[in-house]
Amino acid sequence: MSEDLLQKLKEWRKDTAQKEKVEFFRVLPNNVIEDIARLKPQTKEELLGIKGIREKKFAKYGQDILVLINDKEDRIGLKAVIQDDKEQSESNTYSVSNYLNLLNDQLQFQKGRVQGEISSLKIQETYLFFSLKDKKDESVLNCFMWVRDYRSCSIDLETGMEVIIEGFPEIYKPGGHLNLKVSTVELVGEGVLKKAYDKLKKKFELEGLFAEERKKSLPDFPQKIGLITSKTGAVIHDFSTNLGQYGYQVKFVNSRVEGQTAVHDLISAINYFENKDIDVLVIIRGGGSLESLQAFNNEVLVRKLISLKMPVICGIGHEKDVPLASLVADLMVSTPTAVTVVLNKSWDKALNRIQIFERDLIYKYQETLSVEKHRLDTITGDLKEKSTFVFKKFELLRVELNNKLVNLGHILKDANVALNNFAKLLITNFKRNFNQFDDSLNNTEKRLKTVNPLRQLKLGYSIARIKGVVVRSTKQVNHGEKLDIQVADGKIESQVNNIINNK
Amino acid sequence: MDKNELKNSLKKLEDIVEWFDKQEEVDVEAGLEKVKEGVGLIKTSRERLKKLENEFEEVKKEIEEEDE
Repeated sequence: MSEDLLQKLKEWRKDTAQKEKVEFFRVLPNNVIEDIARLKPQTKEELLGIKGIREKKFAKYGQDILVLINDKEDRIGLKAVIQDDKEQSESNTYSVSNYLNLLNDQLQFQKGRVQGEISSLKIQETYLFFSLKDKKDESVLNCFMWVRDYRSCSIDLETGMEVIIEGFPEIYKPGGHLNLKVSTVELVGEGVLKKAYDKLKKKFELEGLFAEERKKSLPDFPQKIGLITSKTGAVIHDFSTNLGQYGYQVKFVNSRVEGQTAVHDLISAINYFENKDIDVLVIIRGGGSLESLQAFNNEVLVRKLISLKMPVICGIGHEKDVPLASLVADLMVSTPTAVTVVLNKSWDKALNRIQIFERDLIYKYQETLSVEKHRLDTITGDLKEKSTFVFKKFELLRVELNNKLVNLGHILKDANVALNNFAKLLITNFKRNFNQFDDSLNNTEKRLKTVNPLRQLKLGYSIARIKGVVVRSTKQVNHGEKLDIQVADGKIESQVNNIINNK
Repeated sequence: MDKNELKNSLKKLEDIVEWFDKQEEVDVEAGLEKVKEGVGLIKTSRERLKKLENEFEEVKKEIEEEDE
């Protein structure tokens, strides 16, 4: 690789990024720049052959990059670069370098997945070499890999290991031999994968990465959701179908999820969400074997997940071995639908609680009212009782009065009777007295009759009166006075002739 | 109404129900005020919880796009 060119490219990228006010990697990521510095593409086609450069990028930066390369190499004029390949007919003679460039240009499209056994291994600071041996006929493929790519595979390569590698071939110009430029390495066979899985799991366990207390809790009412999964397949459909209609804002990053090759996608998707304002990050995929899920057992990926500030939910279907990503996730479930259940939970619960509150509120107030009503009833009852007491007293008094009146009536009646009796008695007495009186009168009359002077007159006695006064003594009379003598049948008028006093 | 408001409303509703439970003797007038407040909170909370369309946005990452 031309360090000189690499520096130039980096400077150019820095300027461009500043001009466009974007991050460096937005202009061109490191691996693309490194590839350019290594492969030194001369034509548009060669440049387009580099992974990470498409029409869009070429239109934007293509000429700049080619000028930079040619400025350094200065082998072919800029005009020639832009000229079509057709001009390079069979009669043309290439320089070694140009021919190798041409070959490399073509080889870039020979991407392949190759399985074999690692025979030799040499790891340097920024890159590694190894060779892959065919077990049957001992054919050998030389391999080159950037340490950065190697690290992201989180596999410790050892000689004798059976692996599948992915990459494209290129001829290393200074050495003239062919290398497979490896982008990913994956282990082959459940047994090996299982061993690697167990080893890493143990390591994480010792670090306490699965501990519950380390895990963040899912916020109530999650709304902004970061979603990482594959655009294709039933998983994303299941997820969006079962997500309740609560106004979620789902930001979705499409990522491969199958096999070792998914690691790049997944990590770059996680990186995308790292500083985004989301309530929760959701990573989902359907079930699979240890082999198909190996990206989720990747150490780099797992550590990345741990470093995130927001809670992570993993809904990754699995067979026996739970993916390590799920184990470190703040919440793990095994299906995309289960993730939606978790997300909906607080919303659903709120709906329920509202219903309960509604019921409770009415009930509590009714209770209050009924307590109040009861109190009112009690008071009314009390009052009634008290007033009855008053009335009762009045009634008693009335009865008493009545009794008294009746008594009085009796008394009066008695008095009346007594009075009547008394009157009768009085009359009887009176009558008796009267009769007695009558008798006594009769007696008196009888007695009077016997003493009646007239009776005496009849018997021959007479009464002498002088001047109307009965004469009882001689002294009453004087000589010559007229004397009236009363006899029984009349009066004799006479004159006193002589007075003879017997004494 | 945002989710925090919903959270607060639920908390307030909880407090109201608790208030009823705590009172030895509930003042009918004060109770009515609480009920009124509760009904308002229930109404706005229901508003928030009624069906709302989800937004689904696929994020196109530039690098991804180039890689595809």
